[in-house]
Amino acid sequence: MNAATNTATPPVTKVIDLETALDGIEDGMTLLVGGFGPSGSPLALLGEVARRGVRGLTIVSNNAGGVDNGIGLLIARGRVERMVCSYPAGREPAAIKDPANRERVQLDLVPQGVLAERVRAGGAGLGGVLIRTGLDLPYMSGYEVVETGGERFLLAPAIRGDFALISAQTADPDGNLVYAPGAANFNPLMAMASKVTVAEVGTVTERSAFEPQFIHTPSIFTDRVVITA
Amino acid sequence: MSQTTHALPEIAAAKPWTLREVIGNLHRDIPAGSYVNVGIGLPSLLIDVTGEVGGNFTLHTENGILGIAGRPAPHEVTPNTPVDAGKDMLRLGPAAATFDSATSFAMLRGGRMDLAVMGAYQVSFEGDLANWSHPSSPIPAIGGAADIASGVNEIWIAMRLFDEHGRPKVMRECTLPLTAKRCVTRVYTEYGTIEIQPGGRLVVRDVCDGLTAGELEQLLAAEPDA
Repeated sequence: MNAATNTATPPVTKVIDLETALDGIEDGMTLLVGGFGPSGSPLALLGEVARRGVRGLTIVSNNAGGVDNGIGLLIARGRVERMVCSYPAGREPAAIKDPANRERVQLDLVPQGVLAERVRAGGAGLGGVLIRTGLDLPYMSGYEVVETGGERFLLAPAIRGDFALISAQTADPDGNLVYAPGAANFNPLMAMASKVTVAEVGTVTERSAFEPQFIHTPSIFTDRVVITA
Repeated sequence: MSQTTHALPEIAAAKPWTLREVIGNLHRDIPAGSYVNVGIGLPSLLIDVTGEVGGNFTLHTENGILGIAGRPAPHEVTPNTPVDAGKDMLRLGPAAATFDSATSFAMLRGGRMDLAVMGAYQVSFEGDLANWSHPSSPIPAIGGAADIASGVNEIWIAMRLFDEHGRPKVMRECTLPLTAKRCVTRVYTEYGTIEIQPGGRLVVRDVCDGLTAGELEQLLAAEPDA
C-alpha cells in the first residue's frame, strides 16, 4: 500500500441506477438469487435481467419463482437453461410447472440445507462440505460418499456464481446491508459466493448510520446497490 | 376444516378428530421448553393454534425464524411481515430472532432442535418417511424436509390417516420415494396418535371417540405387504 497516495477518505458510494446495475452480465452465466419465495426476493433486479435479454443462464435459488415476475419470468421467456433449487414451486402457479418450460429447463434439485451449505462453502473459499442429508437415498445418488472418523458423509461441492442478485431492507452507501426480519434467508450466503454482488434495497441510509455490530452483510460482499422503493 | 369420515367397516363407528383437533393433540404433547421446527401443510396449523392458546415452547421455521407467536391480525400486516416455510404470514414473539438459511439449518442438523413437525405422504412401520415426491404433484420439491428429517432426533408427522384410495398411509413399507429412513417417532392423525418404537413396533397412544386402540392397531396391521 502506498501511503503517499492512499491517505484520503473518498466519498465512496456503491449506489447506482437499475439500468447499469447489471453491466457485465452475459449469456451462459450463473446467477445466485436470494429470497425464499417472495420473501427477500430481488424482483427488480430479476426484471432487469429479463429486460437485458441474456439467455442460457444457470439460476441458483431456493425456489423457481412465480409466473410473470422474478425467476418465473426468466423461465417463461426461455432464458434459463439450468435451475438449481430445493423447492421449485408449491401450490401457487409457477412457470416451472408448465410442461413446455419443464422440457427446456434442466432441473437440479438440491435439499434446502445442502444448498445453503454448498453456497456458504463457495463464499468461504472451500471446496465443499461433508453432510449426511439423504445418505444412501436415490435423490442424493450424484454425490460422492466420503468416510472420515468412522462415519460416512456425502461430499457436497461448493457453488459459486458470476453474479449474486439479492434483496435487503436497508443499505448504507458503502454497501453494508441489513435485512428485514425473516427476509435474510439465502441473501447473505449468495452475497458471499459471487464475483459481483448486486443488492436491491428499500432505502439507503447516511454513511455510518448503522451500528457496526448490527450489520448483517458487511460491505466487502456488496459491489453495487440499487434503490427500488 | 371439515370432519373426515371413512367407509372402512372397522372404523364405521369412529368419530374422527378434525384436523384442527389433530393439531390440538400434538400441541398438548409438546414437552415444555422445547424448540420445535414447523413444516408446511397441516403442521403449519400449529402456528395458528399456538397463537390462540399460547405454548411453553419456541417455534422455528426453516427460512430463518425462531420465536414465532402466531399469525398477524390484518391491521398488523406490513410489506415486511415475515412468512413461514409455506409462505404464510407470521407474527413474531417478544424473544424472536431471525437469521440466514445456513444458520437455520445448523439449528436443524446440529442437534439443537428438539422436535420437528412435518406432513407426510407415507410413513413406514420402521419410521421411514416419504413426503417429497407424489404422482399427483406437478413437480418434485424436496425443500428443507430432507435435512430436517435426517437432522432432528424427534420427528412428529401430522397427516390424514388414509390416502386418496382409502389405504392407511402408515404402512409396512413406503411405496413412494423416501425423504429419510427410520426418522419418524410419532404420527398424529384424525383417528389416533401412533408412536413408532424401535423395531417397527406401533403403539397407539390416543384414539378418537368410537374407536379403540386395539381396533386401530388391527386396521394398520391388516395392511398387506406393498
